Amino acid sequence: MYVGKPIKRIEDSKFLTGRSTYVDDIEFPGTLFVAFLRSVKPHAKIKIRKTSDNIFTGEDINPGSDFPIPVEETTYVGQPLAMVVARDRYEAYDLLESIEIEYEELPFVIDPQEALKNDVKVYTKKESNIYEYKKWEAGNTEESLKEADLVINGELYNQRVIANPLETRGILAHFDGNRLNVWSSTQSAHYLRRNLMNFLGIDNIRVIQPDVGGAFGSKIIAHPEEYAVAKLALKLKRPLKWIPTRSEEMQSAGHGRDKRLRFKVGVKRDGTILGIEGTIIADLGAPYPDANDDEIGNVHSTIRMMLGPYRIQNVKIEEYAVNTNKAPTQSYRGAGRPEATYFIERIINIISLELGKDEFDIRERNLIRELPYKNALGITYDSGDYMGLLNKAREYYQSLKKEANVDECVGSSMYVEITAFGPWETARILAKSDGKIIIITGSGPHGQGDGTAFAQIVADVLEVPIENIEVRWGDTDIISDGIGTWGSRTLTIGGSAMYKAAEELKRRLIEVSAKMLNADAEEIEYKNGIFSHKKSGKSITLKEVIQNAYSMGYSLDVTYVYNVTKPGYTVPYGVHMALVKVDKETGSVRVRKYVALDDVGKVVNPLLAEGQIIGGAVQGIGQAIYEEAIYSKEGYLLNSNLTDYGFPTAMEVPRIEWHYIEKGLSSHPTNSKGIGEAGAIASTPAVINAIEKCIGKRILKMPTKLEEVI
Amino acid sequence: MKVYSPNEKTVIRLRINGQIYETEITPRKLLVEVLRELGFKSVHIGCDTSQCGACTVILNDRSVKSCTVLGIEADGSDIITLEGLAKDGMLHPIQEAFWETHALQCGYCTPGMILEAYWLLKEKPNPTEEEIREGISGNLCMCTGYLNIIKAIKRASEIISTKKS
Repeated sequence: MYVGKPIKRIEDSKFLTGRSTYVDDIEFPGTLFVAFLRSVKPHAKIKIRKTSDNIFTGEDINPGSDFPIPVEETTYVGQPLAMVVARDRYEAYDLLESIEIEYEELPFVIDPQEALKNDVKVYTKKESNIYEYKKWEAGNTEESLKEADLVINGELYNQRVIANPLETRGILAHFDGNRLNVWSSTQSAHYLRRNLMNFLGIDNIRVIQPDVGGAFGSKIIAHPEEYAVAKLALKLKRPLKWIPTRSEEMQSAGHGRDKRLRFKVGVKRDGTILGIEGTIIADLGAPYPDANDDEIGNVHSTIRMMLGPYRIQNVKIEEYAVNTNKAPTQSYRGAGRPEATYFIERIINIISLELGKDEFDIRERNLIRELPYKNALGITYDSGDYMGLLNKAREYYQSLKKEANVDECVGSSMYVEITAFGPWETARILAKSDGKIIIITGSGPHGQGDGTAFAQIVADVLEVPIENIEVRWGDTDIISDGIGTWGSRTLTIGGSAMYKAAEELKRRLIEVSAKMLNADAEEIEYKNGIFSHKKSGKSITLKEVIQNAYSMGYSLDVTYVYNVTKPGYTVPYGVHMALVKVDKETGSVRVRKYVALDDVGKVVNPLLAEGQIIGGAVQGIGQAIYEEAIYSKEGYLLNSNLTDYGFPTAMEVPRIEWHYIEKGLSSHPTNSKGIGEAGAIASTPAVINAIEKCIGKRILKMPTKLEEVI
Repeated sequence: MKVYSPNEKTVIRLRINGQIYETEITPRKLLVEVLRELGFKSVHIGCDTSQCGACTVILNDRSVKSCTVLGIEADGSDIITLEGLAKDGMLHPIQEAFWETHALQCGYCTPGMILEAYWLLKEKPNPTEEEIREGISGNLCMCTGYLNIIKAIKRASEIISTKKS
């Protein structure tokens, strides 16, 4: 069995030897380079004068509309307004300087709390800045707050951060006279293809996702520049490449989180939570439809998951999802769930400090006892042993506390998370006549190592060495269709498709072997690559069966579409704990040790699962202590580079210990749940809760600033 | 003294992974672009302010961020990129250790990270954990959270010292 073992990645060889191919590594003869002129005003009417034939504007891309490229009105600093085409990137950036642009400045609004008053319009052609207002209600919250021994008021801000994958976005588009071929640093070739077909109104498009240098949610949507370059490639009939600079990337993409919660929570003296009332304000940034559609789903996730793993029956949340004159927000690792866990776990910590009770006791008192459980806002938590995991976590927590020195504190957080979303995913498996097994997934891994996990799953089903299996993805020509890699869905949904496809291939091979052995399929026993006829004792090898299948006219090319049934997600959970060192003289904070305990169902590859937890936890620690996209009152992003934007280096990361239990299996064939985002969800509140204990005052916003810690 | 004018191209000679290359460039062209145009695509660009280290190469025996060197400045120098690290098809112990410990995910920082580790282990064959952390603090990684990279470098130092003894 390969499943469950820490198998080293089969993807690594090319990366380790410098033979990988990211989008900027691809070249065609005659490729031209594209660069974008970006808005320097948060809100303005624009007039662009083309001083050269190599300058293009919104009129060339989307006449009569301001999205994806504005024709009349720009709505955020960093928005692409015009593009140039030149022989290389040096000349392209020279040419940008020559564009003449006139701005007629309009009033703008940066703070979402101001924006929702609608005094100043973010975009003059939209009636309201409020993208969505909604009331979420269950039980009787007013009554529950009256019954409470204590009502705690508070405000929490989960600040805007930037995904910052080390490779930026980028695209190469080439119309070959017949169809448009697009290579993009994206999270899904198939999803980008659908977006481009809709926008361009043509269907002969092939999209290739080459190696992708990370994304963390920022490359799910089609970006304005991708639409524009694709359109221009059709127009100019020359290969066009666009790669932004890091500063452009930070000004215009990967912005996430940015949600505020004003809350009242009613509790009894013993720590029982009776009800929560609150208002959530989510900042969507500028009204770019693709991003807003993406982020509004995340806002809903924040609200629906805000009850955490607790039996809270009374809840009333008012939601305002608001446009502002800032870069549009998008999914960022966790996509709404980190904010949910942050809010409820910060509230748990605040209750524990107010009542002078241990946070684990507060959790235990309110914890869901029996699964499945449907939370008050309709999310079903499917499987697991929440109490068992909490108790196990308590042991780690106690030993961490023993380890803590005088200037150190331990904080914790418990999360439940929705993962492995539908609606479906594809897998294709084919056996070559030489016996090689090729597997192709419809999802689009970009660092997570799912290729190795798929190979493990298939090797187990077919009982062959993992070396016999080749894994591919990321080309709309090699598999019928696909959804993509996000929502911690790939291994579970993509893997289940793969599992089913492999089973179907095995069934076909047994059928072929039965014919070869003059037997019925039921009489065939298959083990480790050998088909045996139970009665006659004759046997043949997998390779022989595959070769014969071809001469017998059998197809050994299987595509399986795995359809995700309701509720369309599965729910992992866990407790994470952080030991932080706080220097009250200098205000510096450092996480010294971190312990994570998760139940993500069946762990297909613990080496890779741990890699996901560590990577996610460090991003969450980054949000707690270092990171924030800071906008000035004038609407400028003040830290649009990796010098000014704080980010953990190897110096800042703690020791991280990962433990797991496998109590809560999912009902998918893999029995797994998602883990890609869990680390980033749990770590931020665990760290902030620890700091809050150490400094003895409530923390309202992140990152923790030196001057606030002192 | 040689005077360079902005649009005038100059021939430079670089020894890259043991081979001599000649190329004609304008004075403003960055070494990172020169290397990539010569086919050394493992040299990556992750930022525009010399922070991330994805472009790290070994230049005359020192680790250098090639986005912060002009091509003409590097004229006559000896450069190692990741493509040159494996010898006779055998992975270098650092490459081996990165694979073993799962020290890479998307792989984009990996070339620069491995070369920085290569230089670090030349300077300090048996670094402490703190020295490794400090040693790679000029190289950002957004995927791994660094811990497996630190483990890999420690492991590589052990493999190298066992081989020597």
